[in-house]
Amino acid sequence: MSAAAGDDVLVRLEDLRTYFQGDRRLFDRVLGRERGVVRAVDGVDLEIRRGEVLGLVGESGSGKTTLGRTILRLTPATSGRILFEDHDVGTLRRSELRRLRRRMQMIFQDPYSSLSPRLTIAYLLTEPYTINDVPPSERYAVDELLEMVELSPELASKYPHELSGGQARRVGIARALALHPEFLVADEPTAGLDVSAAASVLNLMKDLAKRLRLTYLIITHNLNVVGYVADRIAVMYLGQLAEVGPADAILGAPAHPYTRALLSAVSEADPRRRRNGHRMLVPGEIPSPRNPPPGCRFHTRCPYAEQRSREEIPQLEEIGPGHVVACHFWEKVRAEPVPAPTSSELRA
Amino acid sequence: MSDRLLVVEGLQVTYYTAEASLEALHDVSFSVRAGEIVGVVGESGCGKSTLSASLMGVLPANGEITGGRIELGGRELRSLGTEQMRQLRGREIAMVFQDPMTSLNPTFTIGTQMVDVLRAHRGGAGGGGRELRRRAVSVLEQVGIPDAQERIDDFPHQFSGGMRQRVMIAMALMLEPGLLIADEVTSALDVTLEAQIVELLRRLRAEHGTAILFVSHDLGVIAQICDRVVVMYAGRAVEEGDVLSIFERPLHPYTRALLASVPSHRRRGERLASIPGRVPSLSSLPAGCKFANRCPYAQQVSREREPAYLEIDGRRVRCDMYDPASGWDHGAAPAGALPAEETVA
Repeated sequence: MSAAAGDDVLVRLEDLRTYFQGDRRLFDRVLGRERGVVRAVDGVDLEIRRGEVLGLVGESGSGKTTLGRTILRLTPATSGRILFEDHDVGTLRRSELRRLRRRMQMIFQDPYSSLSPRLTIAYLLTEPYTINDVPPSERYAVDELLEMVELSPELASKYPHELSGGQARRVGIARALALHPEFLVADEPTAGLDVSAAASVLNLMKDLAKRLRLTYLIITHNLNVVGYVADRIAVMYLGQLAEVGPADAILGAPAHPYTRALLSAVSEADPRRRRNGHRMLVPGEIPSPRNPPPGCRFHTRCPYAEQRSREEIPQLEEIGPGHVVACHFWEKVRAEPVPAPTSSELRA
Repeated sequence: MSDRLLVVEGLQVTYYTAEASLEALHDVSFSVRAGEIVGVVGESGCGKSTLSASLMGVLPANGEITGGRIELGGRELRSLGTEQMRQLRGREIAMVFQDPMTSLNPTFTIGTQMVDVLRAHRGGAGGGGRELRRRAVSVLEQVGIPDAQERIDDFPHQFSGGMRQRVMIAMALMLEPGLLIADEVTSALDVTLEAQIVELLRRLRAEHGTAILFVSHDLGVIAQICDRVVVMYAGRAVEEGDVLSIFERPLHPYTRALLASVPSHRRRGERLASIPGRVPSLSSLPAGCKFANRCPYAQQVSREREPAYLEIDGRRVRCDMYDPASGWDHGAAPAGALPAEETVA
């Protein structure tokens, strides 16, 4: 274990990789190709500090959800290490893992599909206790759990389909909190919710973080959400980290072209802040992780890309306090105002 | 008058179920001028989708327009027969849906599907297969599909999410309709693709003068693209105004509450306002103002009588507590219930 960082690090990822065997499609068979490997997470080093809210952002296909699941060992890592304090999560035996799982929980993206429709809310909330053999003295009462997420105790006897989206999300959070975890991974906690329900879920998560001294990894494609709640932000692209730093630095002085592109694509609820030509748009779509581009993975969509980007993989380098970026040209990027999109950029 | 492409006046839509008849839209009025982008915003259950479906004449079988009128280019749609309506769809009014995968036929190439649209409407006239195909390619190019010449022979599943949405827009544009209804077209997309689609729609308006009814729950996208905005709640239009007024000086308490609940990286550390309670269900709508049970400004009168849709300085608002002369009586609201105007804007 490296002793470099202080003991405020709760989770440390070292060169973490998660690969999936892709399907061998018809084309592959016809052409005699082997099954492709999907490199969902491809060499991630990251620290999550105790008590912080770390936002993990990227487009669909960036590998952010897989990274979250891998940290909790819901998806097995292919290589690399996940350290939770000094426990090596990847090599723990089943019984040890179960004990550790109580301290790290996931809030799933779709509350309806993660809550069994045939069980009452009361049952769903106490199920983690039965599964984990939690002694009665360490259990919250159902009412307590509901109260914690600001739901009425009357909901205890209801079934998931009787809840609104916001309520179901809160039940998902309560269920994750039942085991007194320290670390929560929340995957798109506001996706699919109406604005006002989303706002109250975000408020709740913030309150709980303070009250229960939680550490969060919040995974989302929505920079408005992450910018609102996160202390630090990690930007992911095609299985790798493009930029990590304090939220103020990432939002105020982004140094990776991809971060800038994501920020410029945010639709702000302010008609005076329209993307009117002067804001950069990232062209095209994220390439397949089955076959990531060589060199810098972002080069196919990057307005700054040069020959070097195609040949040499940029490493994360520190450019400010706690601010790292993987771009050959970050100095140039950061110095420049956001470039205007041209019609060809719009065309993808 | 003549520049008003779409006029909706007092529209009422009712759904019939075994138990009851539910009024999904009540007294909805607004208009869209040629070349204008009008946003319709509201939370789930506010009637946005029912509105698009009634404009397109594609309400589900248990739904019916029970009042009001819809005028498109001076023609009253309710008086048109099924066949006339079918001719109108695509040519004068077309719709792009949220989920392209369920609206495209997976078993035909997109070229076949696009040419079918032309054939169905031109009835054989207007050129042979080659010309129709050329037209399809040019529309695909217009919406930014690279290598349109080749991609026209691809099947829907061979397109990525963003490209599929572009194909959907291309299909809707085949007959150069004057009005495009875009129903939650960006909701399933990443921010980057969302921005691209918004740019595309803006460009279509600029280059072809296409009017767009942009239906969305996302206030961010609404702010980015719309000239005017209609805010809906529980089947009613509750406020309408130009986009700046709506975002900077919202009149209806619901609009204010919605705006105050949008997270943003510019509001770090602030607490988001959330609206207490839930949207009332159609089967148990309260008697008076439908927002009264969640509104800090509500008074006895709000609970008793449905507020009229008042016109004030070119805007409209449905709230009895708003006084055009003095504006809001802030004393009526509990302190801190709604953020002050400065933080809303």
